[in-house]
Amino acid sequence: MSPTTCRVALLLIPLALLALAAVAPSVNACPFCDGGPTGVNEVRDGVFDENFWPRVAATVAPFPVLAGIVALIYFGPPTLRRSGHKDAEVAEPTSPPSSA
Amino acid sequence: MPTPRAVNRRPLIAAATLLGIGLGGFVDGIVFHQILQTHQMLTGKLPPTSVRNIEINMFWDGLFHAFTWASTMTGMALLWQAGKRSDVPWSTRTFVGGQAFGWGLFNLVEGIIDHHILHIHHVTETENHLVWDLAFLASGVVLIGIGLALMRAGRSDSTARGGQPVA
Repeated sequence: MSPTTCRVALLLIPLALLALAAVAPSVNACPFCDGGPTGVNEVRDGVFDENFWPRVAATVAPFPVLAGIVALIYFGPPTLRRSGHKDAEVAEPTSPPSSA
Repeated sequence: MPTPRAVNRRPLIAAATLLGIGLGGFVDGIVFHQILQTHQMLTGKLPPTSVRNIEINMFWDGLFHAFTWASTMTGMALLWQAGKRSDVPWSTRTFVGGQAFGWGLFNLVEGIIDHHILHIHHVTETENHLVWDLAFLASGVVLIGIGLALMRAGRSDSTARGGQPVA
């Protein structure tokens, strides 16, 4: 598997889990709750109600912000990227390298 | 005259930060959601006063954990890539500092968004939840401070993975 494929797979995993939760009957919340005498699965109905997508958005809301901060760390601010900035330059060591 | 060599700490810091975010999220989920049975995802909207609400909250906790797991896995992938690069100093202080920074970042961002903006849950669903919410944010600030101090100390580390000088 190429590194690009790995990266794409990692990005798709949360989306796949979400899609699975939304569409697969076998992974609906509380599969053992048959609703009892009323026949209503309250947990399933409580998860997949009209608030489902707003609650998805609320649950995952911190992650895009955190991903943005990590991207900024990894790639650097746009101004530094344009100027080809490197963290630092060090001279060739004259003595054996210190342990990290 | 010695030739200057470029050093790039960003890949290691980014990987460690992502690992800190993911593992910090797991600490949140394990310690607060499961062991202390508080602070579940939607307790601000669905108080855990019935089995129905507890089970619905469990579903949303699961979705939250899926994303913390994805953060951890992505951090591991970035760490693996960073380990193959000869221009990345393999610094323990930078790595530990990055993880503390990521954990603090998680507490700060999650706290601000979920506790103070969206109000979908609080650290404790009690009258004085603000005190606990602010303490949670403060823990994030402290961890970020520790992380930044460690990463700063790691600036002087210049050995790539495998004990070779960065090149």
